[in-house]
Amino acid sequence: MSDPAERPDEERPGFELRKLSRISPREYLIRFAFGAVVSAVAAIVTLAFGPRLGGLFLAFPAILPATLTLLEKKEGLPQAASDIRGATIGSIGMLGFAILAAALLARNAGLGLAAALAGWMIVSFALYSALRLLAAAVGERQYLPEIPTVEAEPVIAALRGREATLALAESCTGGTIAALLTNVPGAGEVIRGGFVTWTDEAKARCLGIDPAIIAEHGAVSPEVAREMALGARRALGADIGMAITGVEGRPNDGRPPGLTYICVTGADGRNWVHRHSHDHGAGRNRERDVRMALRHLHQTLTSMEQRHDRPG
Amino acid sequence: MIKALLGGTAVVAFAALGELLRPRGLAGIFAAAPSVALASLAVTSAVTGSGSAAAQAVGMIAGAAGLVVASLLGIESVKRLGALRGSLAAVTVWLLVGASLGALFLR
Repeated sequence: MSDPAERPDEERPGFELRKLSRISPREYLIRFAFGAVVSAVAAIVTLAFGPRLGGLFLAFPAILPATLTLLEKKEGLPQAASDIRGATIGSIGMLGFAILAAALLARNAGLGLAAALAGWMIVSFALYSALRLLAAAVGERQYLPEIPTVEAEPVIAALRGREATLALAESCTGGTIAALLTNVPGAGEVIRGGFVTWTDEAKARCLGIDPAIIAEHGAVSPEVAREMALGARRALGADIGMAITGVEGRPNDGRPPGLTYICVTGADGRNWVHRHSHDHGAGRNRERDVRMALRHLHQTLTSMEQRHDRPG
Repeated sequence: MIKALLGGTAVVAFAALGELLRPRGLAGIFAAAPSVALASLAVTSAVTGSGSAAAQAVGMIAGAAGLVVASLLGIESVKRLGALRGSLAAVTVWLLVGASLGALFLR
């Protein structure tokens, strides 16, 4: 029945580098055009009305609407709002840049510009760090971790493409995967529902898992991940079941923080278990878990499609 | 012409740098990077002399002050009106603040 293809698979470092290729040449071209136009406007105003009024346009936020609109389309409004909060910090840094440039440029152009750029960076990043510390001190907590919906959208698209329904069982992610998936337009057609089974008792009662299995293998184990996925699928009558169980912060049951099992199970009873074991720290583990779960879900869905497409 | 080309290139370079950063709040700093200013001031210094560049930088102080006000208001307007209309509102605010500061101090 079960086919535990356990694949130890760590999140690759340098994830941020891969984001570069997500921006299409067209988006770079748009930004280039905006930058060029603003530079030209500043030059023309300088010629017509003098350098001081022309200089005003060196701080013109022309690129903002383009960047934010692209960001909203790709990653959602919360990310765009987050971006403009950062832009506010950057603009205070830009004030530092302008003051330093005004004071130093007449003496030495090269050094003056370098000092002004350094000033922008130092002011911006110091302010950013200070605000982060302040937020932590005041006890501000985000309702959802800062996770974009880019990984949720392909999952919904893949489910809709094969007209399959999904049931979820989450332990360590506390419903975040369901929150992200249901945020995608069209989720209503394919998401049946989900369980947040935080305790062993909840896993047994909601998902019908034999407590003996939990006692024998521990709540964070490939066996329990598989039972959770099967249980969610069965309880909600969905085509696909997905479950995640892991250790977020402190060691649990002798398991180290960062250890996570993700299971995806299909209608034919086959299932795929993925294991992750790298500890990113309490706050970051959940984000990693959510991203990995969505990615595995998408991969499994597309590989299922391929298998179905194959003749014979 | 050279300014336009360099300005565009600088914007793309800072945008790419910003994309590498996470979380978004940190990356957003690069949305207000002095990319156009850096390219323009460098060209102005080289072509018309650093005195003219310094005068542009004085004007830029007013522009940057306007940008601080615009993006602070933009935080709310983007949340309420969406990315496009919210940021266009911020740009309008910048134009108003920039024009008034320009009229007051830069003539």
